[in-house]
Amino acid sequence: MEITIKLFAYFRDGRFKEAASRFFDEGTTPRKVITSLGIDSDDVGVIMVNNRHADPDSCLQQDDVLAVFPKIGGG
Amino acid sequence: MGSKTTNLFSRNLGSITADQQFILQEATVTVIGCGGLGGFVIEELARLGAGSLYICDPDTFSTSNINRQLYALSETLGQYKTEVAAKRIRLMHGRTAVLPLPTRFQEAKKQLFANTDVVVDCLDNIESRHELAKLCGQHELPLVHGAVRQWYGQVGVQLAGGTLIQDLYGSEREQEQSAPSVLSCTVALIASIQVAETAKLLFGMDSPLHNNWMSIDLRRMTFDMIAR
Repeated sequence: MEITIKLFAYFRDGRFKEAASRFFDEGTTPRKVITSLGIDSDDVGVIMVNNRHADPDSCLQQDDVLAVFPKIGGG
Repeated sequence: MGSKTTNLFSRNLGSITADQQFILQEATVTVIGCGGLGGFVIEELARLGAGSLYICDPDTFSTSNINRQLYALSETLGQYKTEVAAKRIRLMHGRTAVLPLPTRFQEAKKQLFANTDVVVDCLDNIESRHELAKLCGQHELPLVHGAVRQWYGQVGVQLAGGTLIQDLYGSEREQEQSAPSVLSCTVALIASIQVAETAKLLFGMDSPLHNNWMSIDLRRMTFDMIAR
């Protein structure tokens, strides 16, 4: 199934700017998608699916839009 | 409002009303963290005409602060950040009273949170941000959040009773990697938005950042308002 991925801040570095569509097996989760992109889950702050906060182990559906934001804590 | 104040802040008027200038003069803002974000936030709040600032940071300036921290100068190295900021604001004009607290905010709760209008989060680690958000919740205070890393920043406003900080960082109390790279341009931008949001809170003005946040990427020049 096709998922649209939006990355933010330094997660874009060396990957893609903003959005990309990728194919994944049925039943995939945000955590699996994030891992497939080489992102350390400890660096992830906010996960949103279709503009709503989502659990990393929730089940993604065809055409979902997954947004992944890093933890930014500096001041 | 006396004529001296009118002259001092005459170039604010037109953007804000005389009544709003008076609200600023009567306001107290607590700034937690006086490094990158905090330095610019303190500077801009004083130039807007905030009447009282409670500023808190246990640290002294070091050489590695100079790339992004407004008050870090060759001649202020080794001095408490709060004391340097307070001295600067007193030199600027006499209309902003500054209370510098060179300690951890957890150890000055009574001074910082009992009699203030808005708290500005200029901290540099996630664990402390959780603690600050909890204190603001207990005191029913609005919290203006800002955070930076490299070319990237985020900014938002947690109203009393809101859960923005928990939503951004989760519930686990994990320490972010120490000393991330941060650029001065990122710090100044995020701090400026924090000050604009602080002023709007004091004026009772609405904002799309209330209980919401935005993600800013200065490298690719994207500003994303996150619908929650």
